Amino acid sequence: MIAALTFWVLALIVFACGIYLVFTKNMVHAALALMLILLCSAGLFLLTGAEFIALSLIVVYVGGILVLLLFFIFYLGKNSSTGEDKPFRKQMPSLFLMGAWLVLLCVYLIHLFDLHYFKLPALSKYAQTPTSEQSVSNPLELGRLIFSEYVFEFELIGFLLLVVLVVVAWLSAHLVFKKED
Amino acid sequence: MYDIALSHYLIIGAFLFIIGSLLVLTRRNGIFILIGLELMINAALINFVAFSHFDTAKKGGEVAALFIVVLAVCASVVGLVILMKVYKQFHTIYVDEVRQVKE
Repeated sequence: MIAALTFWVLALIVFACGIYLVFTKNMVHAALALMLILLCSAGLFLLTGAEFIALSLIVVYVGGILVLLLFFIFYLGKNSSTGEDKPFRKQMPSLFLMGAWLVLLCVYLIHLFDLHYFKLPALSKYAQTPTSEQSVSNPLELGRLIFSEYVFEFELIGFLLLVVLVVVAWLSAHLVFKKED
Repeated sequence: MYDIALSHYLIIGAFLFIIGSLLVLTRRNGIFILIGLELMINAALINFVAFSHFDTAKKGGEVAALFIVVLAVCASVVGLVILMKVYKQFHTIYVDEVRQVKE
């Protein structure tokens, strides 16, 4: 009951912030709406029992990337960039297309999982909520999985981080799009 | 209404993905394009965690979600650096204004 209520409140905030993101022009407000969406999805992860993912989402995204994004937005200043977004009537086709896609997806998902309309045996087991002891997901279990079964992927991700570090340092020093006049 | 099924999470994921792709499609501001990319990655994250929660046998989805967080960090950091260099050399962050990208 409490969990369902929390879910619906978080989902409502996510939907409101998503709708706001589509229509806003203010970059700072957009970054703050993104922060709210990320916090709410961290709350959703807490509801599913994935505490470690939720905490790392908050630390990495909200603490790292969003601060970087806000720093860049403040670095830009207020009137320092020229340019315009597309006018609103030119955005209408993609708005309608994406809206139709969203409606189709939602109808498909509801039918597929809840009403068993398509009667797919492989997917219908996902329809019922698991009991709490079945969903073992504490950081201990996650760490055991990472360092036993998925250790190669873990090393690969670490190597990717190193490569990205080097690439970002190189790009910030040497990337030139055009010759200075 | 009271028990939350998998499709609830998947619908939130679908909504976030569509909002993200709308931002990428309609906006010409580089910051909004980056925000849209992050929303799409977050939608994938929600799907992974939800499937991992409702799958009673294996927990690989959460490990994949952890890796996705790292990949999202890499993507957005590289995107921000490129955007910053574009701003320094073209004095705009609107990607339509950037005409010639040549040596």
